[in-house]
Amino acid sequence: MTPRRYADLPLHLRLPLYLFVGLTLALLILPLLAALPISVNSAPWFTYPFPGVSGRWFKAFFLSDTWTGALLNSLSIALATTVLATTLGTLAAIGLVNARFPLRRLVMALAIAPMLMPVVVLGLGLFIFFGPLGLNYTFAGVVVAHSLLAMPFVIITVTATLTRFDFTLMQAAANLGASKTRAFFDVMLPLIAPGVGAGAVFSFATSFDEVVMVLFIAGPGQRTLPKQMFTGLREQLDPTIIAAAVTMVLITSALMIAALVIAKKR
Amino acid sequence: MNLSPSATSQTARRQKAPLRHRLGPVLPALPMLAFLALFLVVPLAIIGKTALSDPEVSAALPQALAYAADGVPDDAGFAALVADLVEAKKAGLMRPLARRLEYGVAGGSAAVTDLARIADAELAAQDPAAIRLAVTGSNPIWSQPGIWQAIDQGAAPWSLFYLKWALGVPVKATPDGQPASDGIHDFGTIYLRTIVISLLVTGLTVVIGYPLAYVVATSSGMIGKVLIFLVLLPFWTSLLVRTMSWIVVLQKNGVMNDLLLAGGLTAEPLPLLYTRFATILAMVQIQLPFTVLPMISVMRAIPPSHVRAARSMGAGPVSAHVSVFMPQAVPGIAAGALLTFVLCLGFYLTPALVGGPGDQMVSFFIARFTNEQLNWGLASALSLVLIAGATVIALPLSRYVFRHSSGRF
Repeated sequence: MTPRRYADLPLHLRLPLYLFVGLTLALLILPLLAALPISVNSAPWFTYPFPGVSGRWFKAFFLSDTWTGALLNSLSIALATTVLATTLGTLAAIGLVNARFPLRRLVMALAIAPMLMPVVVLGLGLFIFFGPLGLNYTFAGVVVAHSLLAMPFVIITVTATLTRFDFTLMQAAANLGASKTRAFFDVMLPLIAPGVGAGAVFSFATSFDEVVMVLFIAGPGQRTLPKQMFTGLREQLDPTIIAAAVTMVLITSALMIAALVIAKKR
Repeated sequence: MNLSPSATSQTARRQKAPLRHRLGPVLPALPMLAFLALFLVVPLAIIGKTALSDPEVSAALPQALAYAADGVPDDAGFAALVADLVEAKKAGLMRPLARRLEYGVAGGSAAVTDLARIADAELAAQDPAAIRLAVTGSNPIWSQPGIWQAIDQGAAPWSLFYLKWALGVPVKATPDGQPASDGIHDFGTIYLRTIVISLLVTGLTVVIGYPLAYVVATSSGMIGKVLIFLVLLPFWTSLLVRTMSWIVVLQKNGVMNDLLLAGGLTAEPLPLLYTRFATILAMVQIQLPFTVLPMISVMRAIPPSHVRAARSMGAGPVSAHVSVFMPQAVPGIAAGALLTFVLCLGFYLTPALVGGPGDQMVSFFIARFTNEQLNWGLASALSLVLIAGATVIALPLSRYVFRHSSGRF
């Protein structure tokens, strides 16, 4: 028996506590567990039990140009966002872990702000700003908007790994004649890779799931998967949307698992 | 003062080197700083500017403005109006003017378009009395004080018009100059609703989340890992997918109604979706991990010996928990509640999809005024109120959280 930290909570309190916590976990998980399997229901309705299992909604999803086009748009926007946000965020974190960074707390707060601010406000600001620049309804505009939302995740994860990074290693590399860039790629990056990877995965997931910025800034050429789902959900729920959701969840989970496995191997 | 030579030279070096030394850490952060300045600070500044700028009337009616201060002007005012409109037509300022005057007076838009139809050089050349007759003939609103008040209201290119509107001050008038509510948007109610929903969701996540956080924080080994995974799983799942799953579950012929019917709890499907209930339920589920995670990290740092000590001194399990454990968990509770409250204030997606028309919060109206009604001034003013309100409400609490977090979050 593992030693319990609070063996002193008596059974008549523990049982209702566990029951309550079980119900809470059910509230967290059950909606997803109830909704997602409906994507393989052979009948076009939304209750259990199914008359049969079929891949027809996935077939409908992957055979529709609208849906696959949206999926491809989402993937390319998310990839570009990941590159931009991870690059900017990682570099910024390297600067921000340094205690001598001027106005460090203020800059950090500013960098994290997009996470806490209402996305609608950010979307409105970017929309008005992008107008005269011609960035509305463009790929670049959406990538910039998504990077704004994704960068805080990179900064947080990379800063967390950098606090455990031994900066004398960089000194050592410099003493051995390595340039700053060389030292970064050969010494620092391999060691902080788990944080950078986690930040990259969060960036991808943020962009891949984002719908509010897209409503403001994207044009018909940037019709993403979440936007297509959002439009569909506002009109009529259709099992194809659930198939789209499952596809989305599978892609994101595969990435997260891959990142986790790679991080564990190191 | 007896500084040794080495000490003075060190001080000198510290004073000579500093610029490169101080800028060293900033260099790698420069791209991000430039990015934030350009795509966060500038857009926010633009929102502030858009909320305060009110250029349409002064651009289109520079001469007529002088006559609008005291209600319906004399004939000369009408002549100035027509002269202005002839120019405005050429410069393409008519449509913005019509829209702006409609914000200030009921029927303002029609009055401008009706007048624009007859306003030309020929009319402008006639004598003022004839012009007046033609103008009031085009649309009788021009003979009433309301529209002139609206013109006077927009006299300056910068005004508090949109901010007043967003704060619920009546800015619109009837043609005879009486205050008219715009009838559709009662912003006071919308702010109150935003705050009430956010407070309710925050309170519920704290009450529901506290026992969960306690059990997760005090479980070790495999069970602890599984529990934290179950908390993080929905946290990592797409917000849109989680909202969608609530639509699937709560809709009229969905899983929840199916269960209620099968259990004999209701005779016919209940309208669960598009209600306040659905909005709160979905928001609680979505925000629960945000509230719980800071609680867990604080609770994990509470030494178990404290509760054990209280128990050994004779405190019951509940009173030991309440008087020893809970006070130490308060910073975590405050951090989680603050995070959830601030995020709730800006919620758009979930209420838009699972709520009814009466459950929409400020964000929904910002999006609607931007994308559907193209009233960017009002959308910006609402944004300012939302951000200022969130800051004012959250700042004292965030001070507290920062003081007690000691860098844990």
